[in-house]
Amino acid sequence: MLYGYGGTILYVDLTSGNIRKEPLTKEMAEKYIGGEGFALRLAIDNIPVNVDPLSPDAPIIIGGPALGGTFAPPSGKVSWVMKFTLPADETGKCLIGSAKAGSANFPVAMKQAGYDAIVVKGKADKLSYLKISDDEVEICDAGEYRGRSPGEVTTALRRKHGMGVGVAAIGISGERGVRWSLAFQDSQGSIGRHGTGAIFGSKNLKAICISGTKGIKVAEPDKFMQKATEMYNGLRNHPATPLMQQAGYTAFMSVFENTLSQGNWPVHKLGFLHDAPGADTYIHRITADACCPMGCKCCLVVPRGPNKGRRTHIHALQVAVLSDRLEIDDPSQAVDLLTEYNEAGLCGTTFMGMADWLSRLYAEGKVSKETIGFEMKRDVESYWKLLDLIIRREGIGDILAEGHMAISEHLGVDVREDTVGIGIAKGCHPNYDGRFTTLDPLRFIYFVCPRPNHAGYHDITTVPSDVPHWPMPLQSIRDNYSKGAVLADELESAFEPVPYYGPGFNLGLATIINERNGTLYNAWGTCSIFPTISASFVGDMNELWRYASGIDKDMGDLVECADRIYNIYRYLNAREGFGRKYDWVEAWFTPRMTPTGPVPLMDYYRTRVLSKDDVNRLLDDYYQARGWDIKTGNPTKEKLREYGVSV
Amino acid sequence: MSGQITADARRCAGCLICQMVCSFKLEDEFNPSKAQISIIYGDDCTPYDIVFKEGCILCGECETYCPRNAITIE
Repeated sequence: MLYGYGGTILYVDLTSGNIRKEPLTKEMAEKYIGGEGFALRLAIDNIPVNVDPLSPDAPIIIGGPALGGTFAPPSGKVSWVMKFTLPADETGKCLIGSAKAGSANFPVAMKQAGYDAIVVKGKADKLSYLKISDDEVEICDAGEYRGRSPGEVTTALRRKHGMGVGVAAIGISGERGVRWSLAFQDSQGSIGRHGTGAIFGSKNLKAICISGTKGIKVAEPDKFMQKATEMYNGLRNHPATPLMQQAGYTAFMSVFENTLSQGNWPVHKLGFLHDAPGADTYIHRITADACCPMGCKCCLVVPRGPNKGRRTHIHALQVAVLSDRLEIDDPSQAVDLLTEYNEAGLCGTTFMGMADWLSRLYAEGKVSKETIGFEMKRDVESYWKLLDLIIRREGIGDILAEGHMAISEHLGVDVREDTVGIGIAKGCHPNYDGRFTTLDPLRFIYFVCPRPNHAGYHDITTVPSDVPHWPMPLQSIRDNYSKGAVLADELESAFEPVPYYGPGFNLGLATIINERNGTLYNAWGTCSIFPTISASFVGDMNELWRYASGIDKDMGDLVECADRIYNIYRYLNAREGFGRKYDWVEAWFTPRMTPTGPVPLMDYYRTRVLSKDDVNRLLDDYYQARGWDIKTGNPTKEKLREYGVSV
Repeated sequence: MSGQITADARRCAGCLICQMVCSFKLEDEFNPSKAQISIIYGDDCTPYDIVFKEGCILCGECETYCPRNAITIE
């Protein structure tokens, strides 16, 4: 018996209806921990090279959190690995990514049903949902849910199969194959803005509904509860907790103004607008991931207007981002628009990026009214029209639904050359603009991560260095990093400044520490926000995992595990044709003009403007420290063999 | 044991901690399906009600661990 785990890997073929189960081996748990580790390892054999991501052969691989289904605080993160649908360039190649989604019920139910990983492939003959209840697996008719929002489907399946079920569901845009649609986990956490919705839709899969009653036993119950309680109390009594419980991340709007800035407004307008009395009326409820005493997810409500009272779930900070990006001065109108695209199951970052770009092209006379189909002004009415066309896949909306490369080709204007938008990384908008945040380890990950995203990789440097009331001295960063997955000599090297970055640390090497931490948290299924605020660290989670599973790892072992998983991640994409030349965000090298002046790409402490040559040297450092080929930016055969991957 | 248990679902964020500690106390395993407390969700997918089952022994674990003080035992 494997303590702490469900014990089974489930394979479902939606075409044939075949179900197969394999026992989870102790070797798998020891080498890949769980979550993202399991899902990426399974991807080697289950995602065919160069497969069309919308074909039945392209699987959805779900990695359940190693610490999920227990009282590990918090343990609600599930890893969803698949080949995504947004082409990265003209060749049409798409990346293999690991999307992380946090929520309460799904991660718990998956483990309680006995599954540590699930592989779903094939295509159902009609719109269906996959119902998993302990050992029973059934493909059920979802015809009655056609066109319904993820939230509506989640509610309906809870009423039908029990309140404790976990649900992952798509909206209408996923059914219609929009390549930047997403799915929602328990209606709380979004899964994969690069097209999870379209991938579900291509399989006629409206939802996955899972429940379990098997229970999770841990190896050392008393020690587990003692450590979990100690960590829980630390989080519950953290100074940030009362604010988070009340307002989620919006409680820290003024801290993250630079992070959220889109450059159209003076940076302090975001905080002013959303901290203003009455502004919080759009936050209906804060919800939490499994076993999280804080809670960061928001249920928003449209405060005014014809859609008053309509609700949706999203990180509330996106209201500020949307307001700045599309210059919407009324938070109520922003929430209204956000609710519409969210309930359709569309990626908000991508929608606002496309609406922003298209409206600027129209204003500059580069795109005509005939091409767009209406006067694409920078106003809320135009945004609604555009959104409606995308959801219905009509006219220009049908082309936008195919992604950035398709619309660039159609208009004869390359979106990658746009320097006013937040940039394009591997075919998709990154969530943050490195010019406003600085090029810190998290933002460097938008260059080098196979799927440019932030989930799991937030760290202490996510807090900007220049927040007046939250100073971030170098010693604090070093202390924080020293508690991550790092060996002593590596820490020394990472904190040796280099002339092509800035004071404090070598970005390329520091990023590897961040990636390792993130990889481990993604495998355990725990949150990266807590190490960001120095509330818990890798060592804490490792201790908890030891008491749960009985697997005893020291720091050297953990580093090896994290590097094994991350090398596989990179290898999966290398065999699809990705490599160094894709590790780039061109727009960030042109200073962004803002109402308060130009903002260039700089080091974390804002002492130097970074050139392309600087960043190339940082990339050299990164690949070299990873032990990869500097020219290709990919793991060598020797490196892969080191981790047991035969190539 | 005797006592009065009340819950305010408006305070609940749905973290499931109560179910985890309850089942661990009663069953020596983490198993929300065996917990004597359950959460009912509303149409907006947020907690709408908190229900206690007949097997509740009023041990107070859920009250102690609820991070939002949504549960009170008197």
